[in-house]
Amino acid sequence: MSRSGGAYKTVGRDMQGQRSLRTRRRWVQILSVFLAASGCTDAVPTSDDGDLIPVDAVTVEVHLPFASFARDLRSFSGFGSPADVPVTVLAHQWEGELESRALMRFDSLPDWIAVRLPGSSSTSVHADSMYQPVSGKVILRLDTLGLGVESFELEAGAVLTPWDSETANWEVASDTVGAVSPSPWPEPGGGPVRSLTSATWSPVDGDSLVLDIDSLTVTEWAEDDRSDRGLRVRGLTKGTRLRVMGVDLRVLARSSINPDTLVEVTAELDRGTVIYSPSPETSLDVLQIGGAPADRTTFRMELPSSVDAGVEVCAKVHCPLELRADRILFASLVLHTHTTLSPGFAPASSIAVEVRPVLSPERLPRSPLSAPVNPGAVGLAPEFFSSETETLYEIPMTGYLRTLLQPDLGGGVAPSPTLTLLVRPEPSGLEVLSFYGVGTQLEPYLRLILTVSDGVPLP
Amino acid sequence: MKSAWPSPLVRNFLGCLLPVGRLLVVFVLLATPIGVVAQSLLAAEGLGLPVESLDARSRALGGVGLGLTGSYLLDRDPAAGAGLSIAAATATLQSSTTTLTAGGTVGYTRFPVLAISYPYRGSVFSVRMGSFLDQEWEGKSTQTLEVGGDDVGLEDVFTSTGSVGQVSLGWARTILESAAVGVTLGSYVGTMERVFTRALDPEDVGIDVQHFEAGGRLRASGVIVGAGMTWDPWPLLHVSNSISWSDDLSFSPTGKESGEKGSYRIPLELRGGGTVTLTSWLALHFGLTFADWSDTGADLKEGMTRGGTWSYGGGLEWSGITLLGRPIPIRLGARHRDLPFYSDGTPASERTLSGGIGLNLVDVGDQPLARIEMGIEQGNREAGAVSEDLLRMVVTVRISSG
Repeated sequence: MSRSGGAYKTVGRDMQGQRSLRTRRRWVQILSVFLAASGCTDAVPTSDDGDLIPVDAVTVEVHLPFASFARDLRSFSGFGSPADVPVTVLAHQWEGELESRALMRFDSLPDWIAVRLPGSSSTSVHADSMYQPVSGKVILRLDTLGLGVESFELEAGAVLTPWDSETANWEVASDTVGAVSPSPWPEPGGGPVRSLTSATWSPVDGDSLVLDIDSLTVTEWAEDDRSDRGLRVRGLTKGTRLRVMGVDLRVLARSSINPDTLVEVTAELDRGTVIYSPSPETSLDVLQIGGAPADRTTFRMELPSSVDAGVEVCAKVHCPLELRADRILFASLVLHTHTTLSPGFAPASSIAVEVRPVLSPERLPRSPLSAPVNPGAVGLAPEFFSSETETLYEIPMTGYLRTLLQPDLGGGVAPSPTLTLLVRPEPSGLEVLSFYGVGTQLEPYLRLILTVSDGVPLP
Repeated sequence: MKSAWPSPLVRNFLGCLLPVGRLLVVFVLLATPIGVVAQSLLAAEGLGLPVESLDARSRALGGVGLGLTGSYLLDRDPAAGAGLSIAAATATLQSSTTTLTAGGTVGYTRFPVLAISYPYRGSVFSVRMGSFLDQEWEGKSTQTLEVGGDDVGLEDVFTSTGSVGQVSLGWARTILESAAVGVTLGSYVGTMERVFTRALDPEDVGIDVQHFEAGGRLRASGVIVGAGMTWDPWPLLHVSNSISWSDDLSFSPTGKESGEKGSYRIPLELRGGGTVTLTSWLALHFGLTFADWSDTGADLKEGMTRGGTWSYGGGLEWSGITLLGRPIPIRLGARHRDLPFYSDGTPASERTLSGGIGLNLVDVGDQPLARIEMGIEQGNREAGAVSEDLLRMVVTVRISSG
């Protein structure tokens, strides 16, 4: 009984609660009427009933083979210089083939140092421009490019041949404008050099390696009018490669005013470059971009006026499908990664691919480029190019393609139909990115997602 | 001839109201019947949801917009303004919320009736703007499609905005001491925008995915002619009849847009109503309309219209209360109306209970100079699975100036 009574009480409370809820709801409704009256605002009634939508739209995916949308596929080389790579790589018989060495030239030493006069108790200092370098040390900040090697032997040598950081390569020391002919190294690979020191670096010792430099060499490097000054560093451990993340020169100098005073001055890296051998292998079946100097691939978009969507799709929509900007919901250039032909040039870190319109195709390869059609491109992981399994890589270009078809979407200015593929930044290193080329089984294609409808009907 | 105000107090009061009157004129000029809409998911059916251009007094009395006692400018009663001897402007503000079947609430504020009248040599000329069809609704559908062998999430949205209104010029004249006639000539106005959008899920496709959009804007046109008569056969009975004939309601693409044109037959609408004075402070009001939408159905998808539609209602007006010497009529009413378009094959109808009061601020003889009418209406619309609760708040302001 008590349980029944309790149940009745509960029901009574529920009914009261419902009445109260109804009353509250009514007041809320009345309040909202007044609020609406004060604001002249709307909230459109919305239904989740899809049957109310009077439009029949079909969304399909279409793949356009490269030949049906692109013309004039060309590769260009020579963009940027190895001197511009953000990180220098030292390699010695890496993957059995790659040899790369760093050439560095330091800033001149300071014009004067500040010293106190001998025996003076004053705190005032005097400028000493006649100071003499006593010794020096080059500090290299290094980083491994993988596990497995415990120590790396490096050799430092003073360059004896005039060289130009922008044009130097494995064979040539200088190829500046105005020169009759390129000036080759007496020994390919930046040689000969005057051997300075060699040292062994192990990652467990820290990230720096100190190379002692004698006073004669430091004095030579201090003469900023000498074009043969410079440091060459190479690896001596076979099958290894290292990244040089930074370098500077610290010189111990003796004051001419107060010979008992030794002062350490620092000279930072002025210019440097990396020279390497051999050059990466090429193939007509492979699209390669990147490297230093960098390669680019260029082609011109010639979109068809209509596309054949295939039997399955044409069963749903009228074929051939007229290719219109408003129908394109998504467009991407699809590439398949290819194992790097020269394994020594396989990417060591993620590298992004940009697609940018060529502003003056007639001035290729030196045409200025427009902003990328795929800003913020995500980098491609190095493993995509080291395994035999190809990876599909999509470069989205919906906005570009829509504007190409309907220029008023971009303010009435049609973008250039000529596109170039390049790495970002350029050059990003010695590494090249390889993709299956045109005519191969996994050639590039255009992936389009189109939506077609007969329009919005009248009521 | 300039009117003689009964007292300086009244003159001062009206002096204060004149700026309001000017403001009202600005409202009239700025507001277009495009905004004269109601809101319901039933707007998705047929040509939309018919919206009655009723003032607050008609709403409160459960009326259909004609047959009210006194001199008024009523959008659906061409002859009602015949007794006005001074220029007047009236505007109705309607605020409403609708609770949809799924539980969501939508709301809006509009001006469903705007009118200006000007008497000249025994006739009263008017400009009227009223609502006709509401086409504001949105449909959403979320689904997964197989695109290129992959499942892709997508959302379809169909949005219909805008409405159809009527603008007309009216003429009314008293032909007998107890009878008046009136005619109106007008046109449909307003635009309707119908847009379909399909959005793919970027997680399934890619970050650079864009929407698909189709649709356009349509402008409404068509001629409307109305005629009506009011008659007081006995001192205690006032009746009105009106008829409204319409050319086809046409929709054509606006501006440079290309697209389909559409034409729809709109039925003849017959209206009747009246007021019986029961006592010196109590009156009974009633009203009835009929229209046969069968011909319109032939222009739409099969089975979309219900044919003959009735709208009827009535109410009581009690004038036994005064405040500061001014009467404060209190009104109660009830109303039913059939909606012409089926919802999912089911006939739709609307039922409401209503109430309201009037504030006769200033009258000169039988000429109201400043009035505020307020009405509140609660009810529901039902059509098969669709059930909507609605609550309307209507305020009509009327200002006259000699």
